Amino acid sequence: MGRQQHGSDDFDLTGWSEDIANDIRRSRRRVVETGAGPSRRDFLRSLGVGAGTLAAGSLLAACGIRGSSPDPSAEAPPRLTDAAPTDVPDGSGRTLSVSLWGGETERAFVEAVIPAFTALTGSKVAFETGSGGERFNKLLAQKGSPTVDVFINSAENVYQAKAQGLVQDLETARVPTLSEVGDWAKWPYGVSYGLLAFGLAGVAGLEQPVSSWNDLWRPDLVGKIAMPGIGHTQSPQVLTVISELNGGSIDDIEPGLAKLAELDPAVLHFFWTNWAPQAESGDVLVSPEFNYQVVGMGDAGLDVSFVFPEEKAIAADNTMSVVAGTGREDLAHAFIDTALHADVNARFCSVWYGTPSNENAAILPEIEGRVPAAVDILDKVRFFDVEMMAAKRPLWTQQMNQVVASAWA
Amino acid sequence: MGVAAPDSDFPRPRRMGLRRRGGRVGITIGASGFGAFPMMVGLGAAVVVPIVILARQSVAVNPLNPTDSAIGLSNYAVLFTAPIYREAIIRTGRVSLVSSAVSVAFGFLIVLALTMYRRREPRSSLHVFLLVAPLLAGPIVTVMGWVGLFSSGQLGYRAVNLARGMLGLEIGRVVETEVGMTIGLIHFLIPLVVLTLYPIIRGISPELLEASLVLGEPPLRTIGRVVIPLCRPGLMAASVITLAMAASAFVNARFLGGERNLVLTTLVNQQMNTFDPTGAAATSILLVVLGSSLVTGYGLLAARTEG
Repeated sequence: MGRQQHGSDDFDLTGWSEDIANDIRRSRRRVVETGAGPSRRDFLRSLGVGAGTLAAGSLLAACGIRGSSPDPSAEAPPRLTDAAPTDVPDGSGRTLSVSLWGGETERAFVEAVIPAFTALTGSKVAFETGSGGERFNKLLAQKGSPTVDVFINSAENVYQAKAQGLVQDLETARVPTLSEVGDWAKWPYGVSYGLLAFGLAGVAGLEQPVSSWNDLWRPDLVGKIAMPGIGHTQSPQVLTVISELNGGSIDDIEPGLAKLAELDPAVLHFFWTNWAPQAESGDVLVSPEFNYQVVGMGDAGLDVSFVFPEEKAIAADNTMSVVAGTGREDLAHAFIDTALHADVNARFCSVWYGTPSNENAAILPEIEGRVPAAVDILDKVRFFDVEMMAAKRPLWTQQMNQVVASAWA
Repeated sequence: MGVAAPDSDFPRPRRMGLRRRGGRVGITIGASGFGAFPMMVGLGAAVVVPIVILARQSVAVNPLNPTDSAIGLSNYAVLFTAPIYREAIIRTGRVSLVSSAVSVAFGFLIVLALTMYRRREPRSSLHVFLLVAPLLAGPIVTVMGWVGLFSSGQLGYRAVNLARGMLGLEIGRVVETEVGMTIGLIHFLIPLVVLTLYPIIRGISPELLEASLVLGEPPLRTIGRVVIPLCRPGLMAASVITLAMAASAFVNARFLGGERNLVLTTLVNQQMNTFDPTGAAATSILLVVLGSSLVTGYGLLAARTEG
């Protein structure tokens, strides 16, 4: 199985990254210029005008002629766009450490974000990769002396990190591109670079395509489904949905537990590669899965399609945040700002296969038709309260082990 | 005419304790004058300190879920009262004992055959290398291989289900079962047994075996009454090593056992990933206690049977 390479062979990254860096610098100048208070040049100009006026006035007064002072109602002189250095941090000789997933996520950052960020700041970037849970627990263990500067994880994990004081609130002035990001992607302590949908993936050739979460219990699919593992990030959300479809609710998950226990999954998965061989052999026909991973399965030669269930798919977004206590907050904010730049976000999502969070980011031609824009799917996905999910996860995991996993054994 | 007694091949027991020098009794410390004390202190700290930290965490409030009422020994109580976790504890012991016993038995037979073969064919190092190749490849590679073999319709799947059919058991999935997990573990442990037993069995003098056969003992009784007693220390060491490794195996349990067959290692991983670090700490302590108990119990049993 292989994956299609994007980016590096399609265009000159050097020129592209420089263009992005210059665009970011210009946008930051506009932010500085339109912000409160005069620039240094204006202050000096004012001093010069004031001193000249004072001298002229004195001279004229000595000559018996009243001098003139600047008309306060006159329009301010136009500001130069090639003004003094902006607040883009100087990363020369410095290295920013970023915690993120490996695989497609890492590759997308390497191909889309790193070139622009490096061109902008001159900083190097080091990655710390691993699963979301592992990296969260590592950050927790390092509380007070973190080894990473930017923490990228699921919204729930980043929420927990904030609750534990591991990440800080974003300084919005340092991330001007936040203004272009959809509200669904923004938290006080972080911002998402894209939106994913967790719905149903079905292999080609199904006599009756799936369209609902209830289809997992169809008689023709008995023993032919894969299910997310008990510890999967979306397990509590799936449990909530199934509970609601069977007379329960988020506060009453017993119906959902009982219904899930009726299934007989062929395999439990945490990643598409866990069930891809079974999909290829025909042992698995349907599975709950992320839409971006289904696109990746297509690249790998598997004929699998993604379906938004009629009851809505589960929204999942990966969040970027600045680690508390890092000595490189300036670079961390600049990194996030760079990642959210419209062109960078578009390029990133063309590699990652997710929906961009920047509303001005285009869906590039190479992924058109395969990756949706946010405006096309926001009404097809359901967002869950991350605080509630984080609070319920430990107990629900224990209950799923007790009722569901024991039935699936 | 008698059989020549073996010399350096026959292990002699060492005398431990005080040595008498010229009428005075002294304790030999070691050439450095410090002995192994500093190393023991360092090793002890490296082992004891993490366990103490985990133990403290296991009885603390869950910092990720302060509303959780579990505190004190309640994390341990859950492990022993919840049927799924009790089953995980029992499964850990069962899989460890079975895989250790089978790998030692098979490993012993393999080494015996290899030793006899090597005496006729000296250039058989390649066979030893191939035998220990799973160790060199690492657990990930071997486990992924088994996942492929155990997939529906593949060789491993058909072989296991053939055996199930012959035993009157229900045929079906092999991945994410205890059987698949045990087979993968045995495959990984056999090389360890081979590496442990090979030098010991090679050291057994062939004249001893010939003498036994000449005196009328059948081959199987020769193995049982001559070979096994001579390599008993090696068998004990191999058993302890495989038992400890089986109890602490994660990759094998994660991919071949899955969440439908939780053992203590995969339970720790699941708890860590679901915002239950205090539960994970309690499970880790239990794993240490269980592994230590298995090893200690086996050692006592072996010493008793030897005595």
